[in-house]
Amino acid sequence: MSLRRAVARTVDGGDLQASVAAYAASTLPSSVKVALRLADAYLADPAGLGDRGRREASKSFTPDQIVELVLKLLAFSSNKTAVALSLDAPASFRGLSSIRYVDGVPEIAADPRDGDDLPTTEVLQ
Amino acid sequence: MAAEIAFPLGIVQGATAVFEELWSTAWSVAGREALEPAWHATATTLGVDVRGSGSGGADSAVAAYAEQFALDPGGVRGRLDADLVAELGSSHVPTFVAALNIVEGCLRAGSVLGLEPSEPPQGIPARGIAQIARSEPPSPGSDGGTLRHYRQRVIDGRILRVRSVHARLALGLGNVDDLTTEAVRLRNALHQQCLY
Repeated sequence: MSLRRAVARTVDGGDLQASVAAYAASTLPSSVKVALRLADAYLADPAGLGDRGRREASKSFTPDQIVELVLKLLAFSSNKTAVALSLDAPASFRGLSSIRYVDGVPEIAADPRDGDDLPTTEVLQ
Repeated sequence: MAAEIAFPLGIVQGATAVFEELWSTAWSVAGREALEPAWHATATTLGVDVRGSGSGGADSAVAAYAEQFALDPGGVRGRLDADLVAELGSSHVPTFVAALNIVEGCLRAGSVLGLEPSEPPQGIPARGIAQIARSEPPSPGSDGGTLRHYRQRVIDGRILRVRSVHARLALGLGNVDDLTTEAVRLRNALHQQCLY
């Protein structure tokens, strides 16, 4: 949880992780909340999603977007190997580190940012 | 029971081939003897119906490890990890865990998308032959980058390669906006309590 990507922020600003942790009550856009419910199903109870959950997801996302989200979850959840092997640690112990993707390859900035200097691109209105 | 609503992988170009390569690589590297009980244990834990008796090795260390891994990867540390090392040998554990991670991820993905679960590929070896270089473990207190480099030395290169191919495909797709993608990445990290 030491990496952050520069993305649009919700109007209340702050670290996106806090909004994601309590997303139901957050000011995140409704489509992001739908994606996070899909993520929760993937992470906690994939068989419980069912046709009802897929139908709900398809109201906010096209079928190819839903497949893309699941493929991304499959990629992100490769971190479970590191956690299980006790081989995860913050990228830097001095603060959050910036991550970006170049042609699908993650690049992590060498120098961490201060905790209150989060990467951002714009503020959602 | 077949899902009424399903999202086939084929609607994203290249996804079916990469998914199948992930699946087959995990099985061929880890081998059927180690992975089949883990696959059944994972499917049972996730509530996914898979064929086969699943009776062989149901009480094994790999099955117990896989069940906990599906629930909480941090929960395998300690006795389950020690039992797995005793069963597989310490040098094979990182590759086995990486293969298990792929298999359970594919089960999760298929289930969420409403797809029929894949069967173990035909013709895979009973025992995997992991190609692993010996490596000195990192010193305590190493940062995430150092630990990442160590992981890449102790996990079979075929697993790393297919993971990389998949990540390039998935993270190179651009039909989901960056905010949603980052929110989902953070949700996953929070769920796993991953420090990286």
